[in-house]
Amino acid sequence: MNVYVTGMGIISAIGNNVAENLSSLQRKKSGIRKTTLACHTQEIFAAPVALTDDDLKTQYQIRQPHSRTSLLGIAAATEAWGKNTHLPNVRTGFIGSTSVGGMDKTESYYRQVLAGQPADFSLVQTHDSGNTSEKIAKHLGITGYVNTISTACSSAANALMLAARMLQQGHADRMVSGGADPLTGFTINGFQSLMIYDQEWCKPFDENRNGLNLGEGAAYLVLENEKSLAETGNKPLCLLKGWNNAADAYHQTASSPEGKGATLAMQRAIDISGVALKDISYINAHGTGTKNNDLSESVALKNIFGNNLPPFSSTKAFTGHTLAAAGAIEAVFSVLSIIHQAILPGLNYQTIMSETGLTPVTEYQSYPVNAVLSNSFGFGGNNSSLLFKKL
Amino acid sequence: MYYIQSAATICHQPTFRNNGFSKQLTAEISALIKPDYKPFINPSLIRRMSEILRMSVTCGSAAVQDACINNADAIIAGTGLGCLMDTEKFLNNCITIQGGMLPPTSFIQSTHNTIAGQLSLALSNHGYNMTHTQNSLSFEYALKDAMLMLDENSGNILVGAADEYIEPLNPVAKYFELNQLPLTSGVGFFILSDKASTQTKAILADVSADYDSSQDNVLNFLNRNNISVPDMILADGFNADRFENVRNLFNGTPVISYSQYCGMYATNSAFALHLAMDLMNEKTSELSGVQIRKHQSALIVNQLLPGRTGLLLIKNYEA
Repeated sequence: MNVYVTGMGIISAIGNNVAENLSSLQRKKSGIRKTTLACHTQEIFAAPVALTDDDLKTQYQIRQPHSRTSLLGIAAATEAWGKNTHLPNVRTGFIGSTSVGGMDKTESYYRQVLAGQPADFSLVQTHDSGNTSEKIAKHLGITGYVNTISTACSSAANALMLAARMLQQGHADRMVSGGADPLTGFTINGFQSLMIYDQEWCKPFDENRNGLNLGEGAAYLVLENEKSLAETGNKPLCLLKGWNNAADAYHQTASSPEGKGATLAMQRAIDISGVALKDISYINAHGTGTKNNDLSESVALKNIFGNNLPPFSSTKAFTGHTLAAAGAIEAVFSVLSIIHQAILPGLNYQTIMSETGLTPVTEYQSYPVNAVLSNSFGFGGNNSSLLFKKL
Repeated sequence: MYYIQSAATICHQPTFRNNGFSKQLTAEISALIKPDYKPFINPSLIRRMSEILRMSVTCGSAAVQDACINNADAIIAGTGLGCLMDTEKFLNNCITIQGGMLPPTSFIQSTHNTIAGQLSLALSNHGYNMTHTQNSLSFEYALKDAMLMLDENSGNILVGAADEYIEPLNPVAKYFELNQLPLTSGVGFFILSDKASTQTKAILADVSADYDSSQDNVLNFLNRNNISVPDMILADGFNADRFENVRNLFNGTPVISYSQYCGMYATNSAFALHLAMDLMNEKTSELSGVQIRKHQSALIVNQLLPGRTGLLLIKNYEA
């Protein structure tokens, strides 16, 4: 049974919707800037979404307590859902994902607690990750199957994979799936403590790369089976044709030098899709810009493709690393690549990596795109790959 | 059909590798009962792990051993609130330590997927590795994923749930009136297989998880499994009104409240699953004054939080 992508929505530092994101990719306009955020004491390179919580609450007429995570999620999911309606014969579910849930608000709550001030409990009410999905699902009117995946930086890829599996096995007809994460002091401090937060612009796949820049955002796809298409009349954009998730089982944060988990994830996703290696036109890499990831991922890419590596790039130099949302944001970019028959550029690339000699795409360019492989690797050794294919 | 090949639980009752624990439950919830972790975790790693990770690696490893398999084909975990101890520790450091680098260990171990990730490391497991977090339904969604996986491919899935108590939960639970029972920790892992063997302990017939659910979904669930009345019902019992509703729905059927034994944590239906297996396998005839006469089927009703219903149907397995 085929899994069709019929809708998508996105909010990131390079735009509040799909059209704005595409335009930024075409113009090579990054969302990363040197900025001081309310959640962090130092000036850092990060990629915040332009809209504030209040902007989002006004735009989507929200009054109850919400984490920034679910507000970003509602913005993107509403765009993805579009003109869809609830139909009695179309079983619809929601699978969101987030790495920190409502941590943005919990930080404020806990600051009050530690200062011995009277605490505003409405701030901590949205802490649990599941709350994020419930809020978004409620906004779309989805009940029944409402679930959340949390596998660090591969979360949204895993959410999309689970949605696809459910459609394929006939457990649902239409799924809204993706992920959301806000910028928080918790995650910025976290990646700084790991010494992998670049104090300058991140430089994915560059010899002199020195870490990642964090971003925030959300993205969702609407996935449907044939039965649902017949009822909704939605026009498919492309197919989600392959998926896999494999554990690196090497180290809690670092990726194995031989890229074992990444190789397994890509190989099995390609196998499931039935797409020949030569028909994969572009790879949207995980490419965080850390020394460890980009090397391990490059080795894995060579393991799979040998000397016939298709054009590849990491779009994280546009959006920053949006953690749980990254897999969905990059899924939207992968679909855009197919729809617009174009390959997407990386940014800030200057020097070829000595160990692997791979050169990423650096310009937005027209290109015959048949299938796109999208990688998402999370710490904890969670590696996932998705394969999107032209209709 | 899905077969439960093994079960390993660490909680505030003597559950770990103790068949017949359903006859030894105490009404007073004691301290967490920790087994010796050393047979399961490299001693040099134990020190660095938070309690939830120690419990998870131990239960996961024990479940694999007790199912008499070499390794699992996938690892699927559910957690409502994740690794709270490390999350609080790192959050506290972020707020209180100004300037300078923070120690990274608690950040590394704070993410929800550390539970399944540490299990993949402990078991050298390169299979599917997934973490579901949907508050009180996290375990049910993990089970549904495991069942889906077995529909796709034959195999043995390590599936379970983990949640831990930390002191800063108390004021939150008090404010939201979730403190009628002690807040506790609990971890349970199971091997679920599509094939029965001499190890098979029970049949997992069906699982449902529902948000914003309607009243009649318990009856629909039983209907679709061709069961009118199960032999026993284990309900979370956290909310008196919801518990009463379940009792009224099944007049004459033994209804056991399980949260009173394991305490309150988001995934305590994993404790209920192990308890139901033990009640059936040991033919336990009475619990808290509730008489259990038949031991062929058990329904677990998880309505820990309003508007969210988890349902598990378990059947006795006799080869």
